[in-house]
Amino acid sequence: MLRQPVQALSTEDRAFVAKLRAGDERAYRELVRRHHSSLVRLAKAFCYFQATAEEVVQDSWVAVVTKIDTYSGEASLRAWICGIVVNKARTRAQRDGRMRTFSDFCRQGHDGDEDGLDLDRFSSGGAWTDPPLPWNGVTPEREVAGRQLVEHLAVALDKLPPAQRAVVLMRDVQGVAPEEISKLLDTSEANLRVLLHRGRTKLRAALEAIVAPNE
Amino acid sequence: MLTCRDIAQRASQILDADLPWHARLQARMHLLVCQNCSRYVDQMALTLRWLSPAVAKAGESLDTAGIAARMSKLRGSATGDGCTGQADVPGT
Repeated sequence: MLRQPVQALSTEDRAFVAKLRAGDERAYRELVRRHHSSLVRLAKAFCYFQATAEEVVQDSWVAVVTKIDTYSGEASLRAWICGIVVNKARTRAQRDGRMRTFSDFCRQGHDGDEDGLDLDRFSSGGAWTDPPLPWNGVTPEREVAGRQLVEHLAVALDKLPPAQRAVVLMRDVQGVAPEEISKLLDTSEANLRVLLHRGRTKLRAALEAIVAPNE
Repeated sequence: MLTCRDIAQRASQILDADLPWHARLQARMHLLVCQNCSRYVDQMALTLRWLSPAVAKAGESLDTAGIAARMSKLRGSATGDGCTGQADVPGT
């Protein structure tokens, strides 16, 4: 098979892709350690069931292994992998009758869903009447109600509507560029911006409710 | 002039530096003088910084080493003969 050139990647990424192409187990371990958990969550945003999402990601890893030679480097490696997972998850969701069209899926992030910002916290003139309290000395390891804050955050992430969860995972966990996400999800950057804003606002609010609850 | 509500509604775009230059300038001016909004945006940034550790921690029980070992082995024997549907693999 003719190997495609890896064009727009950093030297470090190019070296990493070369290791993957050479079958370096340590490189695969690093790749899976870095991405597996968030990819399962990403697939679950489309497929709903955990077991199905895990199957989709396992299939996607097989695709990564067998198609790494066709990866050209025009998109980032993480965007390429996310693309495989999204495509496989969509195919699976459609096959299982869980999704009519992709725009239906995206609409789930909008319809009847407020942006998570409590407008009652502002005066009619737009100033804070109930401002955010400081989160002094808060660390991700701090335990509240028997769970570390990061665990509360993971739960809050899982509660986001699927489209918001997918964009937050791709943008804020995987670090995929907005234009790449728009292309993968076949949605406008304006729509992406709204989904991101809503998801992020709800996550901050979820932490606030634990760290600095209003009396 | 942007209000506090405007800032909260644009917090995500402020973090991404995804505002037109004049709105970015207005937001920066507001954040310089408004401790509440500055705190709100900082807390959103902190939340996003903790997301990756949150997802990683939630995945600690997964057998990632086993998956990687199988991938590496598969790569050794891969011929690219269609173990998976090419249609699901993006062109890039």
